[in-house]
Amino acid sequence: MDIGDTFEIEVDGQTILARRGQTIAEALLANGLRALRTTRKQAPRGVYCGMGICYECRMIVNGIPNVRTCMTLATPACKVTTQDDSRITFEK
Amino acid sequence: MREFELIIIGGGPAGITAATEAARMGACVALIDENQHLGGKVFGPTGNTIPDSTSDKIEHNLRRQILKDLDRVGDKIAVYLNTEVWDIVDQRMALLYAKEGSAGHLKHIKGKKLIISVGAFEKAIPFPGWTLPGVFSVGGLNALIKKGILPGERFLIAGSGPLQLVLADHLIHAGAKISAIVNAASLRDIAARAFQLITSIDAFRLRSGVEYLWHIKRQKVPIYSSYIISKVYGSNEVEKAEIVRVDGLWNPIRGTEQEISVDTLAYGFGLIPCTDLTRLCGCKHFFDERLGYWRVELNEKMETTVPGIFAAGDGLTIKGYSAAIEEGRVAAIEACNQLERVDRREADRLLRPSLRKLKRFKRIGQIMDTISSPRPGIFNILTDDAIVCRCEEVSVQDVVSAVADGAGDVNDIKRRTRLGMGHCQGRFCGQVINELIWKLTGIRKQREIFTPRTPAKPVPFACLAGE
Repeated sequence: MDIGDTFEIEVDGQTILARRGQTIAEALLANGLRALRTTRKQAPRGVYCGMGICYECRMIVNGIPNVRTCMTLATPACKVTTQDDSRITFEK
Repeated sequence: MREFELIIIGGGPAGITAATEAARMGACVALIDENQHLGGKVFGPTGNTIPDSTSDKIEHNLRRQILKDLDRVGDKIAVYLNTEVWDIVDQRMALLYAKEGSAGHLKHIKGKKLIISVGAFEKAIPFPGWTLPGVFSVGGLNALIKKGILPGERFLIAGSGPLQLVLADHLIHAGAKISAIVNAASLRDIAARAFQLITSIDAFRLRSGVEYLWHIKRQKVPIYSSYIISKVYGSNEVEKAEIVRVDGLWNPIRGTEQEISVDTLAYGFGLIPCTDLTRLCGCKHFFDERLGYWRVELNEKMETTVPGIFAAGDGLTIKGYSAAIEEGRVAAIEACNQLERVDRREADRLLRPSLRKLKRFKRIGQIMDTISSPRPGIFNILTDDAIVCRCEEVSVQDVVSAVADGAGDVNDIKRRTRLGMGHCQGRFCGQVINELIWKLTGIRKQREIFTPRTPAKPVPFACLAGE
């Protein structure tokens, strides 16, 4: 599979490079970003199961909270934000 | 609503083979997977960094072959990717949620027969610190490495099971530093099973196993047998791990703790079948004490206790892709017989080779599972500060308080503490909550499992409203 062809995505206002075919979680981990969310008790969380089961890698993607980044492909210009569970009160 | 003769949920080796087989017999098939690709965890896309071990080559060829076979009958199969099944109504209708960015907007599909082949996930026992970023499941980290991503610098592999060796080999090929491999099983346990294993597994697997061990030895990776991980330290990410020696029942032995400086941990005790959909359908399940997990009850033709609902692959018992392929085939042939696409005599003729192969796979699976299955002493690493339910942040201490307040069973603990109510729907805490309650109350009651609820996976509210 072709994993060449890089593009930029935005993470908390910073730009990182992602490769076509990578999930958002993979792009973040490839750039050394591992803490992706903080819980209601302000504990850091990151990718754990890597296969869509544990829901730990949830982030805000293009304004939508609770998106499993391990199951979502990175796309050019997508905007990803670290999720703070204590500030998410309802789903938009 | 579109109607099909056969709906297959899960597009791994079992689901792909089932779809191909059923389409060949002329059935109208829907194949659903929540990923963006078919192939599941083993046959999913990889990067360009796959090492050339014997197993990897065989996997690669097999993957190409089953996808090619599927493609030949592809016009008879509707494939729904990026799509979750969040409910199954009347044991025939699958309610779908097509995730953002996927093409299909279909909400419901109906099938006369159903094959559930949703695979497996990691078996894990909580320990203090296991929620820190940098702790991965063994399978999850392995998938990342296969795609060419190294999410750390100094790795520790802990737990048990054959996947440890596969991951270690992939890490070595990727140029990573493995600080240690920590295996809960004792050398004696492994040696006791070695003969059984050698005489039952395929030659290529044996060869791969030897290759893995050779690579690990050449890298001088320290291996700790009869050790488990007891704690991980770090403020925002993993910075250090503590391991401890265990006895034959995996009880931690005080005073044998050692610290290892690592930033990434792979942790797991083998795999367990994913049973949420078969449970939601009302199929009968039982807890297999020897294998250490809940299993769906089946007849030898892969049919569950609900007529017309079949199951196949690692969602039943953990045997790997070769067995999954045969089980998928058996389920499809039997479903097609019920659909009158193939008569009984021809079906039996087609079933024979697969049923014969499956007998052997069953034996291998049992040997693997009994080596990796956690022994009771390990529950002693569940100290008060360990988080049991990751989603709702319920600690052992919270469960202790609930039990002190009179909670006596699993669903009672769930109501009082929210344990098991979070996003993952109790898939991880459900693995240990019985043992924890037994330990705290001193009474070994009958084992329970959370009542299956709709939606099986979290979906947006609009989905439930049916809009």
